[in-house]
Amino acid sequence: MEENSHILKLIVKECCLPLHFDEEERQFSFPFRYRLNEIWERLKPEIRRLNSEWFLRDFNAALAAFAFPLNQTEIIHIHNISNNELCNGEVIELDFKEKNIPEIYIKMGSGQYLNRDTGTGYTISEFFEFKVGNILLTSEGKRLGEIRAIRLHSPTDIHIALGRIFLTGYYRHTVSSSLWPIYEEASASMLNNPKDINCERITQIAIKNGIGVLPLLSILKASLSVKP
Amino acid sequence: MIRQEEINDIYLKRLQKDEDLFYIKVLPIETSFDVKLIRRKKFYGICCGKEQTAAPVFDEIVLFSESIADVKIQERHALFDLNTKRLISKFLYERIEKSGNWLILHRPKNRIGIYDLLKSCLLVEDGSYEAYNLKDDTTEYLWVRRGKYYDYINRETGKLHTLPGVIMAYDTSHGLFGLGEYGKVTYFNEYGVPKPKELRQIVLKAGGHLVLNNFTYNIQHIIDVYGNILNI
Repeated sequence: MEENSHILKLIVKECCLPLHFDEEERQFSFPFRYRLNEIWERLKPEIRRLNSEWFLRDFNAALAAFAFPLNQTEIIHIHNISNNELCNGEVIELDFKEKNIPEIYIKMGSGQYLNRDTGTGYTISEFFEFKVGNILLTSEGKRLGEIRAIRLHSPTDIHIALGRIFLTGYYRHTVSSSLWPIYEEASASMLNNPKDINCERITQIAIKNGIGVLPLLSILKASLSVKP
Repeated sequence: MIRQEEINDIYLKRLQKDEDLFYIKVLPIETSFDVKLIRRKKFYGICCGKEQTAAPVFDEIVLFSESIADVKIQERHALFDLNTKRLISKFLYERIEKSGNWLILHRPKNRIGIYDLLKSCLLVEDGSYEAYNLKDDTTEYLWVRRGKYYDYINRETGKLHTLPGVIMAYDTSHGLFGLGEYGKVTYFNEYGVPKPKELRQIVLKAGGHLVLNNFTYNIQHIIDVYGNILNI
């Protein structure tokens, strides 16, 4: 297990670049360096030393995972969890009776959530319990729907390896009581000039706010819905 | 190798014989912890004040505190409680040594038992474990290692808690945390049942990231609410 973590870190270190915004693709990612086949040849002995059962196909699978980290979460099905039991930065997916498509939210603060796909922020009661059958109402009285299923998105080795290399020591900070500064930084640039997005600054804010790669990329995905 | 039953026989016979030798005066040897070591013929005993706490039937006595002593018969050691005037272990050990607030009870084949001097409690007698948390005596539970796996002992009750598939244990002031074979840290109750909600609450209370240490192996793991190790 630990050997695989070392391998993933090694791959991130050698193959990936820091957080970057691709304006054409309109996505945040940790892009790859060039000549990955040469990198594989160079890393092969070290990787084999750590785990003799790692082959090119595993290397390619890891690269595919690093290319789309938001799809690499571990899904945990739960029946209920209260707002207070969720940590800021956690990603929660809800199925509603009235909607065909699930909605994914990021907890930004106590009772504050950000829709990952629409970039809409919601405030709900601090004491709200996400529970199958409960109706999710915002503090303004807007009905978001009756909850049919709840899934938590847990970070995996992929996010942890990326975080170890590019969000150095974020876990030494406590998770901030509000994650809005990250969203505001990204969305302000989106609004003004996406070309000027300062990914290094966003990374530093994420580290100071104690969040890893999964919440960071989720918040940044939400910021993409802000159009200039 | 001398058998346990033989030593018990010798011990009982010596006690019997000592009663018969009441007319021979015991000699004071030395005093430590306000406890007097005595000798009758070639065997040693213990006196507290004028009262005889341990009859002079032992080959050797080492006092570790005012309440606990290492007594030896025929190359085998046992622990003797001065308060209850009773042996609190069998004559199982090749040697007994003090390490911090613990007594390490060495058995043959490199196995060890352990006695907690602070809690006056024999935590492990049979010594089937190979390693123990001997660095941090403030933890609620004491981890013990058998091969690749770890169990915990409640310091208060001395009760052993076997946890499923735990390959790393931590020195925490409260609770039972264990790293599983799939690389995640789990919080267990005393019956070895995983308690993810409790883990979540503990991590939240710690600010979203919880630092777990194993001071014996110099390991620090920082975990999130899911038990993922973030600094590995």
